[in-house]
Amino acid sequence: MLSALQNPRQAAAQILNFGLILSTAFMMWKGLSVISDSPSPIVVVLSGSMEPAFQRGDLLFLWNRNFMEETKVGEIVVYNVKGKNIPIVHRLVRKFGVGEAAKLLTKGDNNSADDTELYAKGQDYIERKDIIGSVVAYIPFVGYVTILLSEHPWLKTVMLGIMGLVVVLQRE
Amino acid sequence: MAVSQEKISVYSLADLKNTTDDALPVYLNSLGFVQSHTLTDVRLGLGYSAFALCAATFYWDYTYGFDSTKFYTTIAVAVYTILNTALTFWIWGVEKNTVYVGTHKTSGTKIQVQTKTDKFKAVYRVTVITTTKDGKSTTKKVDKAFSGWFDAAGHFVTRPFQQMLATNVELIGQADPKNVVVAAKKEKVDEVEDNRSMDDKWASLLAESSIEDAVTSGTPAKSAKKRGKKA
Amino acid sequence: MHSSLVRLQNVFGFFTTVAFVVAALIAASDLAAPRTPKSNIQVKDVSVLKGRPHYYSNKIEEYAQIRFSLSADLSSLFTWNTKQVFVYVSASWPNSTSVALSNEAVIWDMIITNPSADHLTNLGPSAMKKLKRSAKGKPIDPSRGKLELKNQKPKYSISAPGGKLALTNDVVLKVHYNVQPWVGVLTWTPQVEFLGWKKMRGGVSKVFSLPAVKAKKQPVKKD
Repeated sequence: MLSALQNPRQAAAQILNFGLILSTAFMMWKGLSVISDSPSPIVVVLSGSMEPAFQRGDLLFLWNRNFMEETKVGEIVVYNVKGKNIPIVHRLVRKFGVGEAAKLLTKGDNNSADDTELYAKGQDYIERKDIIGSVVAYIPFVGYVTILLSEHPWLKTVMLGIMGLVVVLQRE
Repeated sequence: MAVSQEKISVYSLADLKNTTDDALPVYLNSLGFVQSHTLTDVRLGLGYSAFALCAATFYWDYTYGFDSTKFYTTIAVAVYTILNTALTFWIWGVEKNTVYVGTHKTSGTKIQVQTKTDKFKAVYRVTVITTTKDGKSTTKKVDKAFSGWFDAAGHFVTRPFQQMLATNVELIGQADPKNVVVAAKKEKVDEVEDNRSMDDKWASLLAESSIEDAVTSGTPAKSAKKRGKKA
Repeated sequence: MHSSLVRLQNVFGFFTTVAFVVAALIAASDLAAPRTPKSNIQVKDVSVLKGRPHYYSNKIEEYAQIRFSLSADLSSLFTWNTKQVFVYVSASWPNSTSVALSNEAVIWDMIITNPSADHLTNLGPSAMKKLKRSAKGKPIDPSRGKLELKNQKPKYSISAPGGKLALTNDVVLKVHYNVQPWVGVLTWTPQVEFLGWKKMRGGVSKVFSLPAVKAKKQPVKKD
C-alpha cells in the first residue's frame, strides 16, 4: 500500500482524491449557499425554544430569496443579532411596514415572551437584512453529529485524521 | 525480486488489482517502451486546478464573508462544476481505466493498456490496444485470474505475470520473447481452466507457481536486477 | 484492517442511502394526502387600552385586544408525517400611506401536536397525561384539528412601533396554519392550489376598525 507513495504521480493522484472529496463537499455547500442566497443554507437546531416543532440536533434547510412575496408573519426564520455569533431560529410574529425597512418581531413557539430581550440593547425589532433564511425543509436528528463534534472538539481531530488516512492509504 | 517482499490480502480485489497495475509499467518500461504520462497529467491538472479554485473560494469566503463575495463565489461554483465535469469525462470517457501508455523505442508502436475487475471476481481483465507507426490498430482482450501471479500468502510473483502478458499480447511477446510460453498445450489448459471449480484452479495454480518459483530462483538474477532498479 | 474498514464503510453507506430514500418517500407521501381545511373567524369584542411594554418601562403605548370566535376544521392536515400543526390568527391593517395590508401581527396561536409527537410537548405532568389519554394509542388523530372557540381572548395584545393604534381602519383577522412534518417540507396556508392541496375555505374575518382608547388606564402586559 505504502509503496504506492513512492511514485510521485500516484502520490499526487491519491492526495488529490482526498482533496477533491473535501473540496467537492465545500463547493456543494457554497453552491447551495449561492442558490438559496444564504450564507448558511443548512443549520442545526441548538436549543429547545421551538419545541415541539424542532428539537436539538434537527437539521433545517433555509431559503433566503423573496421571489413571489416578502418574508411574512408565521414563517420560521433564522436571524443574527449584532454582537452575538450564534444565529437564532424563531417564528416571525409581527411585521410592520414593507420592504427592507420593515420592522420584524420574532418569538420562539416554546417561549412565553417574544424576542425583544434577545435583541441587542435598545433594539426592539429586527430587519430583513438580519435574517439569513426562512426554514423550508426539515430532517430530524441528523445534525446531532455536529453538536457532538462541537461539544467534544477532540472528536473532530480524530475523525479528520481517520478520514485522511483511509483516503490516502487506500486506492479504489 | 521474483517474489515481492510485500504481502497483500488476497481477499481484497482492490489490492490485487493495484499491485498488478503497479507492476505493469515496471515490466513494460524494462522492455524498451517509453511511458507517456499525458493522460495522468491532464487528470492531475484538472483535479488540482479545481482544488486550487476551491482553496481560493475558501480563503475569500473566510476572510471577507459571504455577502461581499457572493458574485465571485457564484462564478467559482460554476467553474468548479465545469472542471469537475471535465475531470469526470476525462476519467470515464478518455482514460477508461488506462494504466499504461507507451511507445516502443525501436519499432515506434504505441501500446495502451486498460485494466479492470468485476465485483466479487478475482479476474484481471486487460485490454491492450496497439497502434503501429502506420496507424494500424489492434485490440486484444485478456481475462486471467489473479491467482496466476499471486501466491496463497499474497506475494506477487513476477515471472508468471510477465509470461501471461508476453504470451497473450503479440507486441509484448515480440519485445520479450523469453517469457512467451509457446506450448499450445498451455493455452488449452488456460481455456479449460475456466470451467473448473475455484478449488481446482487454486490447487493447480499453486502447483504451477511453486514450479515457477523453483525455476526463477534457479535462473541468473540478471533481468530481476534490471527491474529492481527501475522500481 | 483494510477489508473490515471497507465493509464498515459499505454498511454505513448503504444504511445512509436507505434511510434517505425512505425519508424522501415519506416526505413525498405528503402530496398524496389531500388538504381541505376550512375555517370561520368572527371578530367579537375589540378594545384599545393604554399600557406599558413591561413593568419597568415608562413608555406608554396603545394596545389592541381583539376577541374572536373561531370554528375550524383542519383535520385533513393530520397524516402519518404530521408532527404538529401550528394554527395562528393574525390581525392585518394598512399603513396610513397605502391600502396594502402592510402590517400584520399574530394575536393568537396554538400548537396542535399529532399524537405521535405528544411526548415532545412542553407540558406539566398532569396536562401531559391528559393529552396522551385524549388520543388513546391512536398514532394519528385528525379530530384534534377541529376547533370551536367562542369569544376567545387573544394571547397577545398588539401594539405598533409608533405607539398609536386606536381608530385604525380596515383591520382584518386571518386564520393561518403551518404544518410541521416529521421529515420533509414545511408548508403554510397555500396561496395557490396544488394537486390535492386546496386553499383555506373561509379564514378571513369581516373588515373592522379599532375603537378609540378606553378611558380607563390599565397596564397591559405585552407578551
